[in-house]
Formats: sequence, structure tokens, C-alpha cells
Amino acid sequence: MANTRIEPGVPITLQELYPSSQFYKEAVSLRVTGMLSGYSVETAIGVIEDGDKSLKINTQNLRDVSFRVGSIYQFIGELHIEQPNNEAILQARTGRNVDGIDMNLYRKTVELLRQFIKEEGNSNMVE
Amino acid sequence: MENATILTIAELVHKGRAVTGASSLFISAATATPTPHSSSDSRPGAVDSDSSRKFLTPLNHPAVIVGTLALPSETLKCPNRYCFRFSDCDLTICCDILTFEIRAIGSKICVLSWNFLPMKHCCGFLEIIKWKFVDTDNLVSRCSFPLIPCLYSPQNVDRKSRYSVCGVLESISPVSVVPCQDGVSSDSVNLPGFLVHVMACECKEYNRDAIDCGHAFEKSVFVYLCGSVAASWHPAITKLVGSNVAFSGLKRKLVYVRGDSLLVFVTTENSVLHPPWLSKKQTVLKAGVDRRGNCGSYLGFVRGLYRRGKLVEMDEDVWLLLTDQIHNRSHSIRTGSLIFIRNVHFVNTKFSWGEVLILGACFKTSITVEFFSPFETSCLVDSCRQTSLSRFIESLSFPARFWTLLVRSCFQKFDGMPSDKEILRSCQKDELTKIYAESRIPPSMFQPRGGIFTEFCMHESCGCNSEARDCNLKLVMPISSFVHHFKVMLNELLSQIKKDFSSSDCLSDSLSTWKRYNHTNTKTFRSEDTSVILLGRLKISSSGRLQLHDRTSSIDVLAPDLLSDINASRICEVSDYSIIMEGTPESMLHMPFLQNPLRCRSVVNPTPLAIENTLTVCFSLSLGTASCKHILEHHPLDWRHDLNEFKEGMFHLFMVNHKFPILKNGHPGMPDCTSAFIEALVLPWELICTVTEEDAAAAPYFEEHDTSQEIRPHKRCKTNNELERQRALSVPHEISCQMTIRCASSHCLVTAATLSNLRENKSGNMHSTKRVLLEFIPECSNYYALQIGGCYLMKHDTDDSFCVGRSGISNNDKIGFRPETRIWSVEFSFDEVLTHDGSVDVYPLVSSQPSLAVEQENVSSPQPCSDVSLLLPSDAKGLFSVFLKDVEEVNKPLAAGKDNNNIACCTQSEKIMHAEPSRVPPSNSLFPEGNLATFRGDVVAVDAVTSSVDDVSSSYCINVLVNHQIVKIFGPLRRHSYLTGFGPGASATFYRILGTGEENRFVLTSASFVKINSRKALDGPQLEKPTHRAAMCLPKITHQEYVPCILAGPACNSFSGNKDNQQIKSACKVLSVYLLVLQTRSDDLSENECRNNIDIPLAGFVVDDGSSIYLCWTSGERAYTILRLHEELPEEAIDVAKWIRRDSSRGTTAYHLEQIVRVHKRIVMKCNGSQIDALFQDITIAVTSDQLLTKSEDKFLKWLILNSIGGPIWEVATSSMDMKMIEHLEREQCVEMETSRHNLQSVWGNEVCQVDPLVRAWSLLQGLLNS
Repeated sequence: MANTRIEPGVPITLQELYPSSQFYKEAVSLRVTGMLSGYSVETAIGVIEDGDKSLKINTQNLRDVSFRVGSIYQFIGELHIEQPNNEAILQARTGRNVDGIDMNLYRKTVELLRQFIKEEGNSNMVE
Repeated sequence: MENATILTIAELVHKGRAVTGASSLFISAATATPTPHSSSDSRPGAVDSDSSRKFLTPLNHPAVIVGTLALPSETLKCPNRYCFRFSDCDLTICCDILTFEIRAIGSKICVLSWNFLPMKHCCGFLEIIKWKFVDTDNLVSRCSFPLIPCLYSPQNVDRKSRYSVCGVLESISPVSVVPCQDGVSSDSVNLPGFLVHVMACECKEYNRDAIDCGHAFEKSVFVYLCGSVAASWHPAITKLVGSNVAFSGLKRKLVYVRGDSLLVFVTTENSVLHPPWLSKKQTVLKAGVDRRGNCGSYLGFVRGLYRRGKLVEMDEDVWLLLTDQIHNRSHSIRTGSLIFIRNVHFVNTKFSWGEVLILGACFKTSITVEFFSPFETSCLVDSCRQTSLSRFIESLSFPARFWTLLVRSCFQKFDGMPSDKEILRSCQKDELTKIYAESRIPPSMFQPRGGIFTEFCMHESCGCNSEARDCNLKLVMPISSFVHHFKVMLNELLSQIKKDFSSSDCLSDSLSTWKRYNHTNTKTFRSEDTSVILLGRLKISSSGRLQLHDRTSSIDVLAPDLLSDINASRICEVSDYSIIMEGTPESMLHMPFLQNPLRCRSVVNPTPLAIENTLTVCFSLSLGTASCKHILEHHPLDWRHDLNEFKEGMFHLFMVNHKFPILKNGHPGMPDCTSAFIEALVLPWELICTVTEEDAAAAPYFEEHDTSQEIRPHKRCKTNNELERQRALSVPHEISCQMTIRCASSHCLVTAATLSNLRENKSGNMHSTKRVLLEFIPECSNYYALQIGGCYLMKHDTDDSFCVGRSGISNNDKIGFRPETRIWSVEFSFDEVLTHDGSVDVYPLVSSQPSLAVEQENVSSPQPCSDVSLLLPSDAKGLFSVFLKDVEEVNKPLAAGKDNNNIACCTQSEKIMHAEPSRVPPSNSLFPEGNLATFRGDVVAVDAVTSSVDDVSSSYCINVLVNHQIVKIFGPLRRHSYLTGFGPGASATFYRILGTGEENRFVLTSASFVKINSRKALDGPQLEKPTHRAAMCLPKITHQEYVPCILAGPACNSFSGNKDNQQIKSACKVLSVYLLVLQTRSDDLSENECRNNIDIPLAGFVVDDGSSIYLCWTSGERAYTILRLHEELPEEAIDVAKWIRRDSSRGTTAYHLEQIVRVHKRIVMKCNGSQIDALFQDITIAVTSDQLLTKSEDKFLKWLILNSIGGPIWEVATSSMDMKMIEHLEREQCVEMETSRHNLQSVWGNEVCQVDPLVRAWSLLQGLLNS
């Protein structure tokens, strides 16, 4: 079980998180961004939204983040898929408020970053 | 309704005004009757809301018109011919009617609501919106209407005319005329008539009662309504298209159409029309668009009528083509009316500029007006005139017809013919359009026409269906629409930027200021991207610029290789060009331009809409080589005419030595001068040529010389032997040569000519090369055609410019050049075979001429062919050398006193740039002195400066890259008018630039000439400019501050002389303030009246650009910016009680700082602690006054430092500093900087502006995506 190495959080958008997607797997490290649409102090579970998609975030390990519904947050953590109904929840390892972010720009940047990494990888393989 | 007055037609016609009787009725009838079906409720909003459109004037009282509705007749002179008539007791006018009933024909009706429009051709036109029968009691419910009024008794029923047709009226043809033999007099008469297509039931007998019982309308039947009386039913039957009708009393005829026989029912004297009945099956719904195959129906508002109604704009990119001459259209098809078009061809055409839906009307098409236009727009009037253009258009496919009509709009009002010759002018334009279109439309776009019977009856098979869907014809646009298109594009982009970054509210500020700073920002579009062709004449405007003119507007033109055969009176087609937009905001350069589709509307209707023009962008065209063609040059007649211009005779030979720029608005010390001058060398040679008319006539056989390369007579020709023989016998000063005259691109004529030396010629006294000054009046376009270093021919005549009024030419004569003077460029080549060294082919006429040498060095491609080429025997070189010597002599320096023209002081010997200009000892001459140079290079940047170099006040400094070296040229650039397209990216040749004695520094004088050879498409930003000016919220630093005053001494030199003195731009945050010197600005108060009185001679900030930390030194406004002194002071920074904060100007940090600095004169703050961590700094504050700093002052100054640390991200353009400079600063400011102690690199901040991280991020992204 023990994942000895902590993987970097792959930046994704919530739109890319659907059951058949490559990111929708147990213990995948992700970096997600979205508007906090709800937060329960009792369970320390928040829900972030981006467009029509939402994701549950387990924030029990976070200390210094104050949660305000309506603000935009970014979390890095591991995805946990709860078996009975195949629902995903991110076990946040860190998080921050990113109010003022331009989501359009962010999405484009993520695309560009992936493209770059892919090209880097390709060129490394050639070498 | 009772109180409505009864108007007569005479009253309406007499008033002659367009009025509507609809809205008045609407008001009065509001209570009495249900809302009338008036034109005013015909959704005017759906029509393009053009504010210039005027509603019809309503009558101020309710009024009705009583009269009789009648079918058209010969008595009413209407150009449309087949209009309904409306007559009251004394006058008859054309009319159209809504909710038409056949019963109304011939009945007396009361028109309740109407529009009246006066017309030129007949008295007026009445649009009947709502009407009722006057005499309802006597109204018989008639069910049959004889097509021909009963002149004969119904008993005379011919046995043949027993057929009847009953079914759905599918389509109707226009009225056409068939010549036939009159049965009585056997004369040939023209019999009008029209065809209708009915989907009929096969049952033999028409029985009204059996209508709905199982008729199947499946059989296609054609009925020909023949004869002038039957033809008059055309408007009535047009209204019935789509409904059920029945004809009885018809006879059958077999007609032969294209070899096929076709059964057609023809009306007789006994034929009867049965009006429509309501069928259960019938659906009267009119869908907006109903398409079945290629043909269909379309319901829409008319947005505009163009080209005499041939081109009707429906919706966006939907155009109705009514090009066939014999369409009988109603006058009521006006702008704003709702029309229903049946059986129209839907041709979705992809043009190179965009997709257009063309509704092509053919003979089956019928149009009914559903709602009349509420606007006061002109009626459609058929022009009966059939021109060659209209015949030509009819022979084309729909896309080609559409294109030709667009082209025709560009040819409007091209020349200034008097208006009384309107028809003549119109014919000429038609002819031009036809010739142009013929040359451009591919053969596949032509389609044969089969005549009305064929096309109506055999519609599917006659080729009406097969349409070319893709059309690679380029859009021909009027210049105003073309420029407007780009303006709209810029504006849209601007508003998009505004929308995107609405958070930075000072954006508009910075946008309004870019004009001042960024005058050289250009954006270029190539013609391949726009695929637009411009047609126009090349003219020289009153401001002295070369422009392309058309009827709408003009645009500046940059033509590097303008051939001398470009004639100002002829129309050119410009297809290869770049459009340069100068002065685009820098922020826009990064944005991808939205390629707006070009709208055909702007072509046919080129009055530019007034757009809110926040941008002042200069548009100019840079023509590519061979882009400018006379559109008629392939026309054989024109070609002959062109050749004949070069007639036999004697020709002067001259060479252009220098062109003086056109100077506007008076150069200081020079009178206001509108003429342009060219310095020319008149050679002591004369060309004698004998081109005869026969030669000219025979010349087309030389057409095999197709490319311009072949025209050059490199090939040995038959005359060689002959030439040799002649040379052996010849007099020494006459050279026989072979002359090639190039007229148009595919024609040339080779003939023999003689060059004769004037030394031996007794007729003139010209014995050697003379230098003269040619004066060109502004209308003379020859000035632009002449190129420095080129040789030209001018016809020798008794009244030519060189001969008139003088016995001979002497040196420094001023010769007026006349605009009508025709000149031909000439080039010399020497017979290859006889040249033993074989190296030189085209011999540079004057080898010492710097310009020529420079040109040849850089131009790798062959020069454009000259008008005339002379092939000389190789030994003629020797003879030529004689006058080469002459040229050198003439170009020798002259004593200033000897020269009588005022530019002569600068005409000293010219040197090519590479020759080191020698240092000229200072002299007390009135004019600047120095060596003149000529060079060619690429313009890198144009900076505005205010300095004076060698007493020439310069407003600009042009940085030119010449042989990998940057050369600076200073000068009053603005006054020169040859700067179309000038700016970074231009490759230019600078003639006669004055050397200043300093290395690589030159001065533009009023005699200097700049020729722009080409332009690179510069789409990207220029390297050394800040990239986010749109996001910059602060006023730009003025240019005086670029070099800080403290650096004016030797440090400045060491600074600017620094080898790696390259500006590096980085975005950084302030970590701490290391040193701050504040003092009062004592000296010049007036200059800073609106600003504060603080001067910051030196400030050092520790900044972090994300990768490293360094010390950024700066001063003045930049330090002011980084300290955020402009900003409002936050409450917590000061003791509120002590300061009054009401006034907004008093609220700024600067204001409070000023109070402190005023007391202490000079404050030096220094941070001795850790550079990195701002919180633990050990700050010492020293003041020059005797007073001690109060506690609050001390607190404020410390807060100041903290405040700057909390500032935004700055974009700083920095250059490195060396030790020498740091030492100098220390000395200058009497401070110890101790920079060495901190191991931080020191840089000098040249420019500071605030960065909007979002804007920066977007532009970075854009850059990455584009790369």
C-alpha cells in the first residue's frame, strides 16, 4: 500500500475529472482549482466548483487556510475514490486561496505546460 | 372613417411629396376599427436601423382615396410596363396593392390606408395597404373573369378552345415579346405574352364543385397567356402564384423547344380565369426560407437596392440578384419592404473573402411585396436601356454576376466628366467594368442562355441548376471601404482589449497617449491575407504624396519601383501590396487580429459609417513589384495607342543625379515652395529613332517575348552583321544601335536607332554634359517615376522642356518640367559577343555614381525592365567614356559663390558611407558643412529627440543598420513628405546625408533624399520597446530624463559607450530601499507648477526579478514611481489630526513628503542593515537643515520605505553600470554607496512602468502560442 514517494500534483481542471479519465484513479496526485461552493466545519470537507463540475475536498490536514465560500482555492493532494458510489474526493495536502485568478488563462497555461512536458519527454527519449 | 377627407390623385401628385395615409388612419381608427394592417406596423426594427433613413411623412388628418383599380395598359407610360393602375376621375397612376382580390379589378374601391411616392417617370406611385369596395351591394360574387373582355359573344366558342387547366400556380415568367405574323395584314407584329407553370390535375373538365374531391395536382402544365390584353394580367397573376387557379377556354399547341416537343396551353379570346378558392390542402403559410433543391422561396426585408435595383441586399450576406433585363418588378420593392421571393436559386458561394448566399432570380422567379416599406425610399424603376454590360452580366453564372456588379460599384464616378454627360460616363464605366470582368472571370463562369421558353419550360435541364459554388475571384473594393474595414477591425480590437482589462481604468489614458510616443508602431497586412484588389489612379496629392485615388477616397502609396509608364489618367489594378497601419497601439500588436469577413455591403455602399474613432492610425499601401497594372493593358486598342506614344524622332537623353525632397511648410530659411526639384545631367547625346506606324502594326507578332526577361535583347540578332558593317563605315560620333521598346508586359518592338553625339551637331550649342535642375509642379507625377541614377529619354521637339525658350542648355539651368511630358526610361547594354572580357552586360552608365553602385550592391533581383533598351556595340564603351569624364567633372565640388541655387552648399563631393568622413574644421559658414554620404540600410528605430546636432535642429533620430553597424541620422524628418511607409522595418536609401564629423552620425538636410526600397512585414513587437504599454498606468517618462542630468558629464559617455550597454527588461518587486536622496527642486518652479516640488536625484532599490536580486539605481520620475508617491496616502500612515486630507491633491504621499522635504531641504536615507529583509533594517536619516526630524516625520519616512516595498510588480528596463559610473554617482551626490560590500550587481533603471500581471501573462501566452 505504502506509496513511499510523494508524486507532484498534476495540474488539471475539474472538467478533466470524469470516471473514465486517466486522472480518475485512486491515489493520483493532483492540483485542482475552483470556487469554494460549500464547506462543512464538522467534516472539514469542502466542495469546489469550476463551471458545471465540482469536486469534494477533504481539508482535515490543512491548518493555515481559512475557507470562505465564493473564493477560489487551489489544492494539491491525492485522489481517493470512495467505492460504493465511485465518488472522488481529494485528500488535500496543501491548499491556498487564489482569488483573482483568470481561469481562462489558467486553463490555457495548463494546456501549454502539458504540451511542453510532452515535447520535453519526447526529445529526452530521442536522446 | 366618416370624418376622413377624400383626397384626389391630382392633389397628391401636385404636392409631389412622399406621404403616408396609413398612420393618420391608424390614430383615428384606433377606437372604431381593429388595428389596420398598415405599413407602419411592418416591423421596421427588423430592417437595419440606419439612422439616415427617414420615415414617410404622415398626413395630419385621416384621408382616403376613391378610385378604380385596373390592369396595366399601354396608355400609362411606366418603365416597368406591367404595373397595376389606379385612377380616379381625372388621373391615373401606377399602384401596388396588398390583400389583392381579382374582383377588385375594374371595381371602384376606397383606399383606406396607403403610401404615396412621387416618381420621375410617371406622376407617382400609390401603395394600397388597406382598401374596401365602395359599392358592396352591387358586388356580384363573380367566379370567372374573361381574360379578354367580351368583345365577341360567348356563342362563338371555337371547338379548339375547349381545354381547361386547374391546379396550383407554381411559377410565372416575365412578359416577353414574340415576333409573329399578324393574321390579317400579314405584317410582323410583336406579340407580348407570358408563361405560367401549373401543377394541374389530370381531369379533363374544370368543375368548381368538384374541387376538393380528390384532385391530385401532379401534372406539370404550361399555359401561355398570349396577346397584349392577356399579358396585362401579369401583375394580377403574379399575386396568385402559390394558390389554386383554373383557366378554361384554352387551346393546345405543340411547341418545339431545343428539339423537344412540348404541349403548351394557349389562351384564346374565350379564355376565362377562375379565381383562387380556398382549399383544405392549401397551406398559406409563408416560411422565411423554403428550399427545395436549388430553388426555393425567401421572405425577407429589403435592406438596400443597388446598381439600379439589380442588386438587392436582403439580410447579412444574403443578396438577391435581379440581373435579367426583362423582369417585371414592382415599384414597391423598396428599401424597408418585406418581400416574398418565389422560385429563386439559392447559390451559396464561397468567395475568397467570405461566404455569400446569392439569391439568383431566373425566369421562374416571382416577387411579391408582403408589406410596404414605411421609409421614404426611392422606388425601383426598370431601366429599359440594355447595355453591353447588362448583356454581358446575363451571360454569366450567378457568382460571377454578383462579382461583376460589385466591381461596377468601384468604377463609379471615376473621372471628372461633366454631369450632363451622365449617360456617356455611365457607358464608359460599363465598358470598363466589362473589359475588366472579362479579363478576370474564368471561362467556366460563363453560361449559355437559352431564351425564356427554354429556361422556363425546361428549367432543370437547361443548366440553370449547375452553379459554380467556389469562386476564387478577389474582391474589388473602394478605398474608403477598404480603409474603413481596417478601422472597424482596430476599433473592435480596442474594445476587446478594454473589455478584457476593464479593471485597469487608466487604460484609456495610456491609449490616448500612445500616439505621442509610439508613432512608429506599425502593423502590416499582406494582400494575400485580405485578398482584396484596389482599383484607382496614381496621383500626387496637394501635400506632395503619391496616392492611389478612386471615387471614394485616396490612400498613400509607397511604390519602390514605379515604372515610368504609370500614367496618372489611367486606372491601375493594385493586387500585390501590404497595407501598413502606422500608429497602432502597442498592446494591439500582440493581439491576434480578428479577421473580420469583408462585407459586400461596404463595397456597394461605400459611405463609411461614422465610427467612434479613438485611434489615429495612418494607413498606407506598400506596393509590391509588378503589382500595379493598367487594367486595360491587354486590350489591343489600348496597346496600339500606347506604342504610338513612342514615335519616331529625336530624343533628349538625361540622367537623374539627385532628387530633392518635396519640402512642405517652409524649411527655415527657404521660401515656401510647392515644386519638386530633380538634379539631372543632360547628356550630349541624342537618340534618333524611326519607329513607323507599320512597325507598330506589325509589332504584335513579337508576342512570343512573354516574360520580361526575354524582352531584354541579350540574344544576338540578325542586325549584328549589319551593325558591324555600319560601325566600320561610321562617323566616329554616331553609334548605331538596336532599340527594344517595351510597351506592355507582353509586347515589345525591336527597331534600329542611332545615338548621335551633339559635339558635332551644329544645331545646338551643347558640347558636354550639363547639370540642370528640373522643376516639377505638384501635378507632375513624373517626379516619382524618375529614379536616382536612371537614364531617361524625352522627345526632342520645338517646345519640349529642354528646348523651349532657349538656344541651348548651360550648366545649372532651371528647367520647368511639364506634367504632360512623356518620358521613357532607358537602359544601355553592350553586345555580349563583341565584348571580349564578357563580364559586363548592363554597363553602369556612370560608374562613379555612388547611388548606382549602392543600388547594385544590394539589389540581387534584376531591376525592372526599362521602357527602352539600347543594345550598343561593345566598342561604344570607349565613346561613352568620354562623357563619363564629363559627368565626373560636373560632379566636382563647386565654389559656393558660383552656384545660384540655394541648396548648393551641400552639394560637395559625395562619398559612400564606408569612406571615413573626415573631420571638418569648424567654420563660420551659414550652412552646415561636412561630407555628403549616400548609403542604404534597414531602419531599426525612429526615436523622437529634441537636440541640435551641428546647428540642425533635429526632432528625430533614425537608427539605420548599415553593414551590421548602427548609423544614427538626425533630422527634421517630419518636414519631409516622402515618408509614406517609413519606419522600423523599412529598407531605405539615404541620399546626400551630411556627415557630422562624428563616427556614424549623420544629419538629414533639406537636400537629402530618402528612398524607401521595401518594407518588411513587421508584425511582432519591436525588441526594445516596453511591451505592456496598455497596462501602464503612469505617465511615460519624458525623453529628457532618459539620460539623467547627473550623468551628463563624462560618466554619461562611459555609460553610453559601454559595450554591453543593452537594455534588459525585467519584472521585479522591490525588496527594500537602499539609498534615497530627496531634495527640493529649487531652480525651476514654473516647470513643475502642477507637480510637486520634490526632486529625487538618486535612489537605490534592492529588487528581485524572480531569478536574482540586484541593486537598481534610478532617479527622478522613475524613483518617484517606485516609491508610489502618486498614490493616495493611507489613513494609518499619518496622524490624521495633523494633516488636512480633504483636497485630493493633498491626499497623495508626495504632498506630505513635500512638506517634510521643504523643511529639511535635503534628506539622505540609507539602509545599513540587511538588504533582503525589510523588516529589520537599520535606517539612518540625514538632513541638511538645522532642524531635527520630528518623530512623526521620522515615522513617515520609514513608512515611505515600507510602502514602496509593498508596491506592485514593476517592469524596469535596466542597463548595467560599471564601477566608474558608481563612483561618479557617489561623488556627485556626496554619498557613500558601499555597493561592493553587498555583492549585489548594480544596474541603472531607465524606464519603469507598472505591470498588470494578467496582461503580462496573456501576452506571454500569446507569444508562446504564436511561436
